Amino acid sequence: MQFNLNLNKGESRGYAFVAPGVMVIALLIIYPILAVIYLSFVRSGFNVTEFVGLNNFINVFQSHQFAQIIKNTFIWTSGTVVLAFLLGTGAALLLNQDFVKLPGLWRAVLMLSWIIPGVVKATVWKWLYSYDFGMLNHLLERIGMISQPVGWLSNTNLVMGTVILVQIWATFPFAMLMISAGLQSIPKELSEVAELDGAAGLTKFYYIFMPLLKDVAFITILILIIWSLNEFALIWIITQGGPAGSSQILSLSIYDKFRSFNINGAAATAVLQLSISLVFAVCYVYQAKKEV
Amino acid sequence: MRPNKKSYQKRLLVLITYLLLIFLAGFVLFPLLWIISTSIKPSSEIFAIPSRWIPNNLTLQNYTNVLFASAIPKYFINSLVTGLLATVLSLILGGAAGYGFARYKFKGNKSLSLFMLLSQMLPLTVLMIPIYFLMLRLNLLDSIFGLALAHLILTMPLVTWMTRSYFIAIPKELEEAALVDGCSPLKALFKVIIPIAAPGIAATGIYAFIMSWNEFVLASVLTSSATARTLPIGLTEFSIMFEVDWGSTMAAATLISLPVIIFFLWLQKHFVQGLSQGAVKG
Repeated sequence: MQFNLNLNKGESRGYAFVAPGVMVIALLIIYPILAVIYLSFVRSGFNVTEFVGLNNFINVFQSHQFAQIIKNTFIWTSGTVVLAFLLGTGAALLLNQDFVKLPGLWRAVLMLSWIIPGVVKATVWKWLYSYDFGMLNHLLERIGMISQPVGWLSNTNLVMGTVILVQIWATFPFAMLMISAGLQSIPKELSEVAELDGAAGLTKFYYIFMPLLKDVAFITILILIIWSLNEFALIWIITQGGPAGSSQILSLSIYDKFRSFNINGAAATAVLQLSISLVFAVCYVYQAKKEV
Repeated sequence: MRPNKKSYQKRLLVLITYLLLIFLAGFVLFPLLWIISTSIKPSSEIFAIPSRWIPNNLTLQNYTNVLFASAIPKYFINSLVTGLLATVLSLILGGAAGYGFARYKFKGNKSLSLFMLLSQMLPLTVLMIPIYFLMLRLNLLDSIFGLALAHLILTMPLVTWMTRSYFIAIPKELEEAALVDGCSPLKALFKVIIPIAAPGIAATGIYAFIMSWNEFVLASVLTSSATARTLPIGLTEFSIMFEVDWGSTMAAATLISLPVIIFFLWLQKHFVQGLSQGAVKG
């Protein structure tokens, strides 16, 4: 950053106000990013640190779990984002109808699964999914949908879907809020005129609402993608990435490597995750900039 | 005939809408009600088959366990102090930055404020490793102050961005009038601008506090004992420590969620407004 020494009064005051905050951010965000990139190119020994080029990355790519982690990360992100977005948009459209009484109350209730602390979300679902005593198995048995308990958390084929459902539950209210805000900014007259012209239901949605909701929908999807990519606690608490790595995603694999003292492997994985998240984060900032 | 058909269709639409809304509300509430139901059951009923929503023998035993026979009260204090520290620090530093970004033209204003927005989107699992070593070097591991400092990663960008938008919304003429009346710029800020922005600033502070209160990744890496562990760590510990004591775990979950839910419902409007202004860390 370059500081101009011939600042006029306004400029120097501006810097004085933002400088302390910017320095804290530099220490807590910019420094860690540079440090993690550095750590990903070296091998930290007891007393010596040697430059190893791309070796840490090659080790990460060649590990036998890597393909599964990438596949899981992709399924997790796309599954949670698409379904949470569709469910949230559906909820917003339902609430946007004039005849719905107490829309504020409905909205407040539907937001609850989003606002409670992440650890509480994870813990209660872990309990609901419990094999022997979980409410979910009881419920499904009672209504006759299953004859034996389902191993929601122990079946390697099911576990990804199991955690995806929790993330949908936790994030669809956000999509609902964003789309609701978008719908409320559409003038009522527009929708009335469309109805006079004979457009109704899906036609109205397609030609009137969709083009006007494009920007807010795009931002919502970007944020949902970033949240899912960055999510950690939810999966960690419910499955710890298991069984046998079948619900392991990138963020969990960084933590695993870090906890087993493979600092450089963790750093290389972190740089990989950072690059992926940054693509979407930059798109988000670019889109948000238009509206600021 | 036509109006009749139309009103029939309309009634069908109303019916379907309400059915779907009830279904959605059920989906949202089912786990939450199960938390409460489990928390007021004696352990004999928690594992009873078939399980019931309303217990035969209602008990507060799980709550007294949590409040008087566990580390949760200590963690509650830790969470409270961490959250307050992080909130106050980020309101001072981030509030000043938000004001600077909103009011002054300077080189780098736009790129710096956009970087603040970007930094909300960075994965904590990436920052966690260097932050751990930074706190190790500063001798701030397992300390409340160290954790509060780390929580500035979450709260600073949020506070900066939200206060910036509150300050932008206040007309510049108000300050100019105060300056003409002989106020110094700082006096104008404290006597004129901050009182106007106060409700927004307060809501932002509460939002920041809740983020610190909910945070899990940094707290689990940076703390290792009851000295600094916070409630989210306590809750996960709880379900392991008592092994299968779901009653106490759910009582603890209720106690952790209550302040968040109360604050949220109270300040709903500000939250929603903040969302549309780009303050969105989850």
